[in-house]
Amino acid sequence: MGNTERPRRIVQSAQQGPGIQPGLGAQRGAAPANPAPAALRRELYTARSRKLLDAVGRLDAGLDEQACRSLAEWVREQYTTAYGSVPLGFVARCYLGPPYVDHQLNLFHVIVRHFAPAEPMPEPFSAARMLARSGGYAYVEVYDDGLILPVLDDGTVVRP
Amino acid sequence: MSEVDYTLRRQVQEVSNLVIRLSEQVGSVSGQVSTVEANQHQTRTELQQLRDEFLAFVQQAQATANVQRAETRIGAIEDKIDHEFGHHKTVRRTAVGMLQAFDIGLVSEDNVRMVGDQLMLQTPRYWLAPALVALASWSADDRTLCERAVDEAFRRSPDRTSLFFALVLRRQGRAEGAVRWLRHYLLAQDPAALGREFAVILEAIAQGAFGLVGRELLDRTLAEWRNQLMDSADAQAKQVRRWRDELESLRGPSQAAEFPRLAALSPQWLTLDGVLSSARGQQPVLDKYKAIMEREFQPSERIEDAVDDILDRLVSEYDNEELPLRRDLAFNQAVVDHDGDLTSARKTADADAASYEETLDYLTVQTTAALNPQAIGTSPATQRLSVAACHEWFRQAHAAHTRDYRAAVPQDVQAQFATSHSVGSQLFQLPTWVGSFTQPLATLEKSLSDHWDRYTGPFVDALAFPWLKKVAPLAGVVAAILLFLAGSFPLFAIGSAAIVALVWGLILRNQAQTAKRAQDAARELLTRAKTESLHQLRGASAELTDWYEKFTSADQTETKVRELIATLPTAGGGASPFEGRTVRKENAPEDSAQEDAVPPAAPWQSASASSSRKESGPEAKAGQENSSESQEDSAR
Repeated sequence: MGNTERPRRIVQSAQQGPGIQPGLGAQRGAAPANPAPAALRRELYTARSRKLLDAVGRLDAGLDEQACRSLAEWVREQYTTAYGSVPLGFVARCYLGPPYVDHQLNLFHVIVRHFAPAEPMPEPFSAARMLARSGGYAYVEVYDDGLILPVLDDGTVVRP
Repeated sequence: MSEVDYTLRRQVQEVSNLVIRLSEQVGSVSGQVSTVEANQHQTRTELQQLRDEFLAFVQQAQATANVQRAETRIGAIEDKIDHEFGHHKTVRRTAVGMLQAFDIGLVSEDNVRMVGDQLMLQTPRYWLAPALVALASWSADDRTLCERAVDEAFRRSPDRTSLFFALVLRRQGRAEGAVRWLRHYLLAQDPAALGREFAVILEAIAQGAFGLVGRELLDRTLAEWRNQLMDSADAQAKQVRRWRDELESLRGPSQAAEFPRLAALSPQWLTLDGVLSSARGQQPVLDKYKAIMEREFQPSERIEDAVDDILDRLVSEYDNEELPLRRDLAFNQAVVDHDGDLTSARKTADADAASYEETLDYLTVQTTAALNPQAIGTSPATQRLSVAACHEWFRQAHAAHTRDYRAAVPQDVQAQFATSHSVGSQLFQLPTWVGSFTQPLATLEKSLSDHWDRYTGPFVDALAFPWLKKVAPLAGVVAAILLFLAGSFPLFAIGSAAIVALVWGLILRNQAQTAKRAQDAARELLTRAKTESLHQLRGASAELTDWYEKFTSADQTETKVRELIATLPTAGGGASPFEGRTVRKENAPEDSAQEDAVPPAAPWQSASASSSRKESGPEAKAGQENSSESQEDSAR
């Protein structure tokens, strides 16, 4: 019982792939796979805005599906315009209480999944888990090329 | 017939006595064997203990030998430095002595010239000697000689000579000439390959030695250099790497003694240990840099003292030919500091290798001034400014260091058991059991206990006495006796069969009892081992909880370190780290004159009061020298 996964909220229907609904997103998602030029990388390492931090924090705050989807859309938009590449999703500490310790937010499926310590998180999110659980970061961004960027509470990004 | 029967019975009786005696002897031998076995076990344990102690001793002896060798080497290298470069010291001391003698006007010009000439002869190839001759001839108003001497000094070491004269002129209040020499020096520099004397510039900034104009010039130039170098991601990454090394060197020692059961049981212990050591490094970092930033430092009251300090540093900075020896010295010092641990000493020395390069880029100079001020000879005040100037790299290195150890915390900590016990003459081996601490402790205990039971049950059962196998031959023999002898001697057959059955039965019973005892002992031993391992599991689980708590509390210091780093840009004083203190030369003499009522007896000032000829001479000449040098240099 304690070990079963509990998808709390699935906004999009499961058969919709990451590229179907957010057509742009698929392209953006592919962007970081290319070796990004230094300028692009530098953009990616600039501090995240307060509004963005709040928005990501709200993604799991129990909004209804529509609100959540539009919020995710806004977050994706922000990442594209301000930082040049969109993360696959986020891993953050979970405050639901036992047995959950952390959760994963997938920007493309807009899924929030909560995990107990014994449950394995899918790759590439797994590597960000202990960072999120340490409680030292607001959230941890996970990119599809395996890049992991922890974001501090003041929005600063820890460079790889 | 009865006789035969009697003889036979007696013989059987004898045989049975023999058998009983034999069985007793076998019993006593078996007792002795188990004693020997116990002794052997004890011996083996003691031997193991002795081996461990011996290894520890060897390690200790090795470390002590390393320390002693390093200390001897340090002595030898210092001697060598003293022997090869000791005569430079005299020149260095004389330089500042000469300037101070000029201040108070106690030494006659002839003597100054004589000393200058003498040093020129005694220290060939050293740049400072002609510079001293220039100083002496300047005070004696001998222009041609002065120019030639400056030329020679400049030829030997353009950078140091420029800096030296910039400082000397600044000391004598010739601000314009000083700034001209300084500009001249800065223009000739490549920010990617600065000479070691450049640290003096940082020192001068910290001491505010060049006055307002000089400071503006430095501000501008250094900001430009910084921007130029900061464009290169590589150069920045190098500095961040250096700060990472510094953070790693402050990591705590291994914590195995604190968590003995976890260390013994968990295959993830090495990672856990490393992570906790790193987390515990946060406190030393905080302490060290707090102390650096809070250190009181007493600025010199007079510009002369400030510049003298800087001149001391300029002239006593190692010259390039001393570097190999200094590098060796630094390594041996590191060996002594690490109590003979050669690996860590090598690591420390390597991390700091950049400090002993002949040329350094500007960013490295700054990092070195922050991390190892002794290596380039700067003061704690400069260290403070440099730490402040390096805050960005410090921040990045610290964030990355913290991220790395946090990410290294194992998601799944496991416990692993695999033991073997010798039970009597047999060896019981428990196959490896692995359990994850993400499971509740009760589940883990049950799993381990089941694992024990699964393997101990069959093992103990196998020790039981095999009645069936042992009784079968007996039954066969008895049947055979009855079968063959019953026809001819029925009474004898029954009698002998009964005796054989009785004796054999007794022996079997004896064996069975022994087997039963062995089985009981084995059962008890294994139960004890099982209980013990369950205790260990429980202990390890408690230690793991303890570990998480200690890790979390050590990790929380990270916030404080981050806050400290965030305050660094402002702690340096002013928005730019180069806005050091400015000692105002203009007011200082007036103030001191008013306070002390003793006019400072600087030769040039007293000269300016008494003789206008002498005053105008050196100054004009100094200016001309400078301009002619500038021209010469730009021509070069």
